[in-house]
Amino acid sequence: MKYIYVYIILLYSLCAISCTEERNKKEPSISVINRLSYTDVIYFGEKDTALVSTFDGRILKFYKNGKNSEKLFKIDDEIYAMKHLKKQDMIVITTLKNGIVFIDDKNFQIKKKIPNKNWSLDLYVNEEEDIIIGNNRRGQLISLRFSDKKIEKHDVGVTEGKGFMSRKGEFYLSKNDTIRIFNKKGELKSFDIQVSGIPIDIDPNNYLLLINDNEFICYDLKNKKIKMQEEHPYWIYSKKKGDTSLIGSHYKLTKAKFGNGKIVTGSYDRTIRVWNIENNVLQGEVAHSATVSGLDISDDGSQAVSVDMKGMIKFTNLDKLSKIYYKE
Amino acid sequence: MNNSKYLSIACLLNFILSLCLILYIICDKQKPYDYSNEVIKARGIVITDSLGVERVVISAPIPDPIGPGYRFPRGAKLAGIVLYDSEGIERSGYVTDYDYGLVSLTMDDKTGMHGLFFAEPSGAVSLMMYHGENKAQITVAKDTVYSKYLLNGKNLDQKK
Repeated sequence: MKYIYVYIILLYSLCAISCTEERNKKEPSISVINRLSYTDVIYFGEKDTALVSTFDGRILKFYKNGKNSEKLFKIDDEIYAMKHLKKQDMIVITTLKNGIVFIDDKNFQIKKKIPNKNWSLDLYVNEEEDIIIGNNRRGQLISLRFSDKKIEKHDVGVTEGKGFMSRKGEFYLSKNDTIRIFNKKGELKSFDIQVSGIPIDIDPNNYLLLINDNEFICYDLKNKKIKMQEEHPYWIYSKKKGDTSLIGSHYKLTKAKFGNGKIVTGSYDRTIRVWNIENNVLQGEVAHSATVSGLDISDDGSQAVSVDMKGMIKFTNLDKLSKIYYKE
Repeated sequence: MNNSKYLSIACLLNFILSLCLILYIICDKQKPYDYSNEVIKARGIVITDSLGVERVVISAPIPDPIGPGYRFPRGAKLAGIVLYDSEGIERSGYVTDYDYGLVSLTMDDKTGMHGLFFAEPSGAVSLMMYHGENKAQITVAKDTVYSKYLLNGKNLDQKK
C-alpha cells in the first residue's frame, strides 16, 4: 500500500513540473547578425583551398569545386578578419568581444587572446610575421609583436591615418587626402603623395592601390603619377528569370587587391571585376549573390577567392579570365 | 468494505484524475496561444525572413549596424524600429534618442544615410536629402521657414 502513496506523490510532482513555464535565463540581446554572411576569406595553402569566417564565429574550410564546407573552429563571438601566420603555424582572427585571437592551424585550438576594446576590422602581417597590424573601428592602428614566442602589444610609432602595412613592414597611411609612407621603425620614409583614398595594397612594381568610395586608384610610386583610376562601369542586375540588365550605377568598392599584373576589386554591386594594369582595361567580371565582403589572392597571384554577404564563395582563375561573366 | 478497499478506490480515482489532467495540459500546450487580449512587454522584437536573416528589429537600444564583413559603431544610443535588407545591412530606421530628444526617420543606402526626416523637441522639423555633395533641405520652425539646395557643394537657391 505504501507504494501507492509514493506513486501518487510522483504523479503530482509530474503534474507540477509540467505546469511550470520554461523561462529563458539568458541576458536579452539583439545582435542583428546575418548567419548566412561570410565576413572574410583567406587562402589556406597555395591555392584552391580557403578558410572563411562568419558573423556567428565559425571558421569553415572550402575547396575549389567542392560542394560542402568543413567546420574547423567555433567561438561565441563575431569574426571580422583573418590572417594565416604560416611561420608561426597560427591563424589570427579579430573579434568583437574576445579581441584578437590566435588559433593553432593544426588542431584549431585557441592559443592566446589579446583583449582589444575597440575591435579591429582588418589585419596585416609582415614577411617575418613578427608584427601584426589592424585598423580599429576608431581609425587607429593596433600593433602586436611576436618575440620569443610571446605575443604582446607594441608601439609602432605611427598611429595617425588609415591604411595598411606591407609585407616589407612599411606603413602606407592616409590622412587629409595625403599618403605618407613610414618605415618599420615608424620613421617617415617618403614624400607626401597628394591623392584621395585609403591605401590598401602594394605590388612588387611599386604600384600602390587605393580605394576612394566608388573608384580605385593605382598610383605609380616610381614615376609619382596615377597609373589607373576606375570605377565599376555599370551595375549588373540579374532578374529571377535569368534576364540581365546593365544599370549605370557605380557602387562603392568594398575590397581591392593586386594579382599577377591585375587588380581585383569587389563591390556592393555584387561583382568582382578584374582589371589589367598593363593596358588599363576591364578584363572580366564575376557575379556574386550579394555585397562582396572578403577577397584574397593566392601567393602566385594567379587565383582570387571572394565571398559575399549571402554565403557565396567563388574561386576565380585570373590568368584564364578572358570573357565576361554576367552570371554563372 | 474495509479501509484498504476505500484506499484502493481513492487511488484509482486519483490516478484517472491525474491522467486526465496531464492529457489536458499536453493538449492545451499544443494549441497556439491567443495574444489578442494580451499586452506584450519586451526589450526587443526581431522579425526574420524564411532564411533566418533578421529583417525588422524593434528594440531599445537598437544594435550597432553591420557593414560588409564587419560591425561599426552607431555613434549614438537610439531606440526604435530598424529595417534591414536581405543581406542584413541596415536600410531605414524610425528612432528616438536617449539624450537630446530627437525623433527621426532615415532612409539609407548600403553604406550610409541619404534621407533624414526629423523633429526636434522644440518643434522644429527638417527634411534632408543628400547624395555626395548634392543636398536638399527644408526646415520649418516657430519663427522661420527655409530651404537649401546644393549642387556639387555649391548653393543653388536659398529662400527665407
